[in-house]
This record gives sequence, C-alpha cells and structure tokens, in this order.
Amino acid sequence: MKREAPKSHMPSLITALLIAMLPHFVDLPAWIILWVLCAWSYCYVAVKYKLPLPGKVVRSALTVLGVAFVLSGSGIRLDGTAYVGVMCIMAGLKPLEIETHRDRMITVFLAYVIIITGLFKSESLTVTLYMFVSVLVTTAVLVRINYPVKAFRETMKLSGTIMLQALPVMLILFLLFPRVHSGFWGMSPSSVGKSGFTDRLSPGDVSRIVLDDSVAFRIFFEDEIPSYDRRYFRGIVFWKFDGESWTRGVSAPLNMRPVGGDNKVNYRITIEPHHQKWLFALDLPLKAPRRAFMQADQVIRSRRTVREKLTYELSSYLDFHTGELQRWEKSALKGQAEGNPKAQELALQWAGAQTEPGKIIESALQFFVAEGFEYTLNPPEMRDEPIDTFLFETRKGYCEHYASAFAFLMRSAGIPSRLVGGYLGGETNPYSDYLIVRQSDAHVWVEVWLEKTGWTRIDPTAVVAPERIRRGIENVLSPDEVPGFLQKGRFGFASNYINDFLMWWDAVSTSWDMWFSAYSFDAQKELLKKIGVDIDSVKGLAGVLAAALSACLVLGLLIATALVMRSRRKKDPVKAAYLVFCQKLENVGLGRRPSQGPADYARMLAAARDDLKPWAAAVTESYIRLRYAETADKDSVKQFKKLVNEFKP
Amino acid sequence: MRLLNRSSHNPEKHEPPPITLDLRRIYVMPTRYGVIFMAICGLMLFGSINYNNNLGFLLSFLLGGMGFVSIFHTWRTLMGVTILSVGAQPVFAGETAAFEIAAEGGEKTRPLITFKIPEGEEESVQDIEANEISRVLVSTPTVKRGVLTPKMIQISTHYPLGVFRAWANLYPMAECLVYPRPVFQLINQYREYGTGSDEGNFETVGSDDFKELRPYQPGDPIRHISWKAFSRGRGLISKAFIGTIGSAIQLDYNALNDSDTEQRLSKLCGMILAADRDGVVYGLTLPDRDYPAGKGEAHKRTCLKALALFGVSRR
Repeated sequence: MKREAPKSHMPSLITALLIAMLPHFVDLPAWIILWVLCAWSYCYVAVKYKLPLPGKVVRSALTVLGVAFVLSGSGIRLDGTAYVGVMCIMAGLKPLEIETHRDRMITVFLAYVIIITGLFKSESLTVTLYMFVSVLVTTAVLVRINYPVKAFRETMKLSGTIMLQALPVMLILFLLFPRVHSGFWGMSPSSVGKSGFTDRLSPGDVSRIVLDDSVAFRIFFEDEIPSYDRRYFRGIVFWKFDGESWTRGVSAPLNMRPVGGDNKVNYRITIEPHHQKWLFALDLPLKAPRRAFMQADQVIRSRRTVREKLTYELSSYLDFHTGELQRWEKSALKGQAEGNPKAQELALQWAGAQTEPGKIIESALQFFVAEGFEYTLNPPEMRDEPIDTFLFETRKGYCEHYASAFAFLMRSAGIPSRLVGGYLGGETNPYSDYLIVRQSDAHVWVEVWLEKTGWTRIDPTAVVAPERIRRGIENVLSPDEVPGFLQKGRFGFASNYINDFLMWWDAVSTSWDMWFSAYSFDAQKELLKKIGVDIDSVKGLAGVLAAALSACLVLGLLIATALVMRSRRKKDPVKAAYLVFCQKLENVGLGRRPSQGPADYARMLAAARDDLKPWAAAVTESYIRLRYAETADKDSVKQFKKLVNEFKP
Repeated sequence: MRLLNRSSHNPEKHEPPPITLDLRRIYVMPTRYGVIFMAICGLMLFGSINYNNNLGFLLSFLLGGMGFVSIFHTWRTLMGVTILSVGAQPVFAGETAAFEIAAEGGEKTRPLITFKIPEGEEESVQDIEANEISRVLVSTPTVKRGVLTPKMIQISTHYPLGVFRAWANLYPMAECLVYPRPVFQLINQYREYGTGSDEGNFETVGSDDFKELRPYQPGDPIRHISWKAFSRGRGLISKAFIGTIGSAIQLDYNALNDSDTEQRLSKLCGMILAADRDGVVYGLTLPDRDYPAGKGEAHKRTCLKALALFGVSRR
C-alpha cells in the first residue's frame, strides 16, 4: 500500500480542524472565522478543480499577515485570545500544505492543541463531552492519514476503541497525578464580565440583574432545604448612602466574635465565576470558608477573584443574635442621613410619636402598605432626592427602592440600619436535592439594629409584595413585566418537557461540576487519605507518583493480556476442530507434519491405514470446503465438529 | 578463503523459516511524530497545572493514555505474523537481488507492514490479509558473486496512530545465488578458448553459415527464428546453422591467462551466456570439477551456479 495523493486527506483534515475550532467561533473576531473559512473553501475548490495551491512564499506571507493582524488587534500582547487567534490563523492555512505525511501529522497535532485551548473557557459537562467527540474525530483522522484505505466508519470505530481503552489510564492519572496547591483558583486566560452585584448599588441595578437568568450559584444542603422565605443569601452589606447610591462605605474589621444562634444549617455552595470577590452565604454564616475571610458584618470575601467555578462549605444560623452594636459600626453610621428632607421629616415624625424602635418599623412598613405602593421592575425615573420622589410621588419601585427608602427612614428616625444585597429563594431541582439560585433571584433587604435581637433582617418587599418572598418574582410582577425566561409556557406545548429536560440536564451537569471541577489538591488529598496515603509527607507524594505509574503499568499489562487473549479466542472454530482431529491422529502416531497441507495429510492417512481412508476424506473435504470455499454457516460448522468428535482412530 | 558477503556477521544467528514474530522479537519505540506527540501532551499537562484546569488535565491524560494504548495496538499488529519462506532468484553480481518473503498473519489482517533489508534502499509496505499468504519483494544490491544472505530483514509497522513503531529484526536462512558479473570481452570469444570435444569437427557458428529453414521446434534459440518469414504469415520457422549439432566446445578455466580468479570467472560467465545465446553446445572445466558439454536453460544454470560457488564454502 502506497500513500495516497494528498487531496484525499483534505476533507478529513479540514473536518478535524473545524471540529476543534468550533467552540471558538462564538468569541473569535469575525474576520478570523472568515479567513479560515475562505482558506478552507479555496483548498476544497482547488482540489476539486485542480487549481494550483499557493507556494511556500505566499503561505509564509499569509501567515505573517494573519499573525500580525491578530497581534495588532490584541495590542501586541499574546494573551489568551490572541493565542487562540494565532492558532486559528494557522489552522486556516495549514490545509494548504499537506503534500507530505509530515505536514499531515503536524496538522492533526495542531487540531489537538486547538482542542485544549477550547477547554480553558469552561469546564462544564457539555464542554467535556464535546472534548471527547473532538478527540474521537481527530484521532480517527490521525488513523486515516496513516492508513487511508480504511472506510471512515471503521477508522472511527478503531479511534473509539483506542479511546475507550485509554479511559482507565486517563482516570487513574487524573485522580492520582499530584496536584499543586498554589493555583487553587487558577488564572483563566479569558475574563468575561458577568452581571451580578458590584460594590455600588444604585437604583435600577437590581432590576437589571434580575433580567439575567444565568445561574449565580447552587447550594447543596446537608439536611433539609429551608423554606423559601428563609433562604436569604447574604452578599454585600452597604453602609454608606450618598442620597442616591449605596456603597460599602466601611472597611469592616475581621470577624472576631462568634455569633449566637439557633437552627444550624450546613451546606455547600458552588458559585459561578462572577469576577468579583464576594462569596454568598445563607443568612447568617458562622465563619468564613477556606481561603476566604469574613468581616464583622458577616460579609465573606474570597482572597482571590472568583474567575472559575468555586465550591465552598459553610454553616449558618437561620435564627441568630449578633449582639452589641460595635464601635466601628457606630462610627460608620454617624451622620448618614442627609438630603431627602421630606423623608427625614416623616421619619422624625414617627420617632417623635413612639420611642420603641419596633413601633417605628411597624409605622414605616404600614406606610408602604397603606399608601398604595406598587412593585414593578420598571419604575419611573427618580432624579433629585430619589427617596422623596419615590415615597411621595411615584410610589413604584423594585426591592432596591423599598429597601433603600426603608433604610433611609430608619436612619433618619435614629435606628441603626444597613442595606444587604444578595439573593432570595432559588429553585429546587426535582432531579436532585439542591437549589439553583439565578441572577433573577437577586434581592436587597434591610437590617436594623435592635436592643433585643441585634442586627435584624427587615424586608420591606415582604409587605409590598408578599408573594415575592414566598414564591419568587414571577408571581408578583404584572405578566408583561415578567422576564421571558420566567414566563410559563415559553416553549409552547412542549414547555413541560423542555423545562423538565433543562432541570435534568442542570442536575447532571451540576453533579459533574461538583465532582469534576471541584477536584483539586484538597479533594485529592481527601481521596488519598481514604486509601491510606498521606500526601503531606514528601514520601507520600513520591508514593502517589509511584502508585500512579504502577497502576498505569498494571493497566498496560491488563490491556496487553486482553489483546492477546482476544486474538486467541478469535480462532476459527473450524480450524480448532480440525486441529482436534489432527491431535487424535497424532496420539496414534500419525501426526501431521508442519509442511503437510490438509490434502497431503489425507493422502498420507489413506496410505497408512485403510480404515482411516473414508474418515480422512470426509473430514478433509469438509474442512477445506468450510474454511476456504464458502462462508461457513453455523449448522455445517456444527456438523463438522460432530464428525470430528465421533472420529476414533 | 573468503566468505563472500558474509564476513561481517555470524551465520549461526540465521534460522530457518517459518519464523513467527513473538514477544521476544518485537520492539516498540516512538517514531519522531511520537516524540512530538509526547511533547505536546507534556505541554498540555504543563498548561493544565499552571491554570489548574481539570479539563486540561483530563485531555492531557486522555491523549497520553491513547498514545500508551496505541503501543499495544502497534505491537499486536506484528505479534503472530509468520514468515513462511524467504527466497530469491539468482542474479548476476551488480544486479539487485529481490528476495520474496511469504508471510501470513492468521485470522486477522495486519495493516501497514513494512518489509526492509537494511542495506537495500527500497522498503515495501503492504497489508497482510487475513487467512492469506502475502508475498512481498524486498531488494538489496549485490556486489560480489557467491551466496548472498541478507544480514537482516526488518519487519515493522506504525499502525494505527503513526506515533509508535513496532519492529522485529529477523535473520532468516535465505540465500540468493549471485553469479559472477559477466564480461563480454570479445564477440564470440569462447571460440578461442573452447577446445572441441570432437576436434576437427568443430565448425564455427555464425549468421553467414546459414544452412536451411525448418519449422520451429521448442528449444530452438529465439534469435534463430526467421522473423521475416513470420511477418509474411508463414508461421514460426527456425534458421538452422551448420555445426550446431554434434559439435561442442569446452570452456576451460585454466585456458584463461588472467591472474585474477574473479576476472576469469567473469569471463567464463560471459562466454557461457554468449554460447547459450548462440545455441552452442558447451562444457565447463573448473580446477576442481568438469561439467560435460550440454545446452539449454538447466545446463546454463548448472554452469553459472558452479561459477558462483567456485571457491565458496557453504554451510
């Protein structure tokens, strides 16, 4: 077999490159995609109509040009995106030179390298499955360029076989290959801005976040999932109000004092990368998870920006008592109610009438109920003195307007108050017992400090739109305001099935994420401890390496044995039966010499003993017929075996 | 005494076919693409460690694992291949000896098997089909007369991924008879040195001594066919020459006055070929043995073999 002409390799090589590049098509500059597609189309047309392919000079010039364009686009910096761009430019041009076996091999290797660049964007189950598909196809192409005569289906089958056999090796190495500690959250080559909370909260911010149905985080409770109205996930506490926007305002000290409380809940949160440092926790967390710290107002911050999916474990009290007002808190609250004179006046009025803070709070909440406030995602614009405008003119707003106004009123009335941004509620996945919290669950509420209970959560939304805190926003907004993704029946008659499927898929990919994406130094340590290896000692580390290597070796031996056994087992039953026949004769001293064919052997037997003549003729005739002349059906093979079994020399 | 073409290796190593490729004969090493492939896997692993990307780890180990598994596939492609025989037609020194290897692979097809004699230039790639005997020609140049045994026959494959190559070096007992390089010093030179067995009755043979036309008989030299007659549609007719029957010449090693043995053998070789071409009856006298006069293909081969093996010790 000689190597085939290069043209027959063109389609398969382009396929491999295309499949490897496909995940990048979403965020590659359009011109690179166009460049690649143009180059490939030309290759295809050139092969079909026997047009000349560009020579070395043209190819080099194109490469330089393309790379220069990519680099100028990225500001002469070879960051992740530019690197992928350069790869793709090369992938576009590579099929122009595949005359030699060497070029074709390099092209396939290039496809492998492009596959890995696609993995740095996400580690989801979808991406993982796609990776296996790309490797399958690319390896099939690798087989094909080495052995082009096989049909593509057979090539795929072989590639699949090799991949299946490699899976155990992959798994062992994945689990046991020593992980390093340092890159705990790693550095993602790409950083895409995501919606979510920032450290500044202006009116309208939350209503914007709510329009996003992407997942913020998922929570796995050790025991029962708390009821909807107790699922307040605390994120950022805002102290400073400038008359319009709320900001963090203080650098709260690290939490020193343990919080007292009741109804302890243990849970694990997997947070999606939001490129901030906030970590969310069920109200009220006891202490910070690993590699994060908690401030005295129970705000948890990760030590590093969350650029990748991150899992952390926490405990919270559903009922709690935060104790005395701290000195830093007092100073943070000092002189914090300015502007919005009408609101201030109202608050002072309440404070004058009652001295009990609980009563003042009552009056404020009553004010929202009695004055016909409306809960909406699209409140009218509030320009100057926004709280005054909201409270006395428009009276339409979303949670942030109510919370902001309420906190302001409390401060004006002399009750310490602060704003908390986070999420409320979440959706239980029926296929698995965890909670999905989406950006659309974003919520803002207020905490006031009271003698009896310390910092106490007051959610003014609860009085304006009670359904919000019991069932979610789609139940309180007017139908045309509900974001499309929350509308019931958005997929028509198949809605239920599609929603079910989406839930199921989320459950599957989440358990994948829990296990896979979270697998790191710590998880490995845990796993190894279970099998009795302590990684903390250097000896243990060496042991792990040795174990991984020997496991691979054992696996290799197993594979080898299996391969040998299989080739043995596959022996032709007809031949096996014939060998039995020969063995029987050998036992009586009439063995077949290696040089003797079946026909020669039959003649020898006939000459040696007359009584063997009919047997030898029958067996030999059937053997030759079954083995060489026709495709043996099961019955005739059976008959042949029977014949041999009955034979007694 | 010289051991022609055999000086540099131990003939004891050679074994008679059939030879089956088994565990201890097959070696596996990465090809240069294998080295590149491993380097890529290594880089991927490095990147995955750097970015702590689990999916990167997974891909690196998947590709590494596939490379690892392919070792066994490559190895299994050769495992169990049997070389049934290795043989070659005699050639003249300076020509290319073509060894025909008969190989079978049992119940499964062995794709992409490369056969090669290291000192030969060409390699031959082919599949050994299941339940069939494949015949492959591998060639190697010849330099000296004698018996040529290939130092080694290498059978290899890089199926299926091209990143690993399995090979087996075989030393089968195989011989190619190498006749001396013929020297045609003068046209019909054999006449000068030939001594007629029946002296006086010796007649020269040439185109001018044409005697008669007679119907072609198998065995007549092809160059004696009258093509002119054939073209006129009269069938195959041979031209009979005077003296071709009943007269013979004896080609004598001792009658040549060259000092060099090889030169003498080459000249004798040329004379045998010329005599055979002309249809002359000839005999051969070598210092150690006489070959009585005769003609025809078998006789020619006997004489040429005598020349090839003159002074060569055989096992």
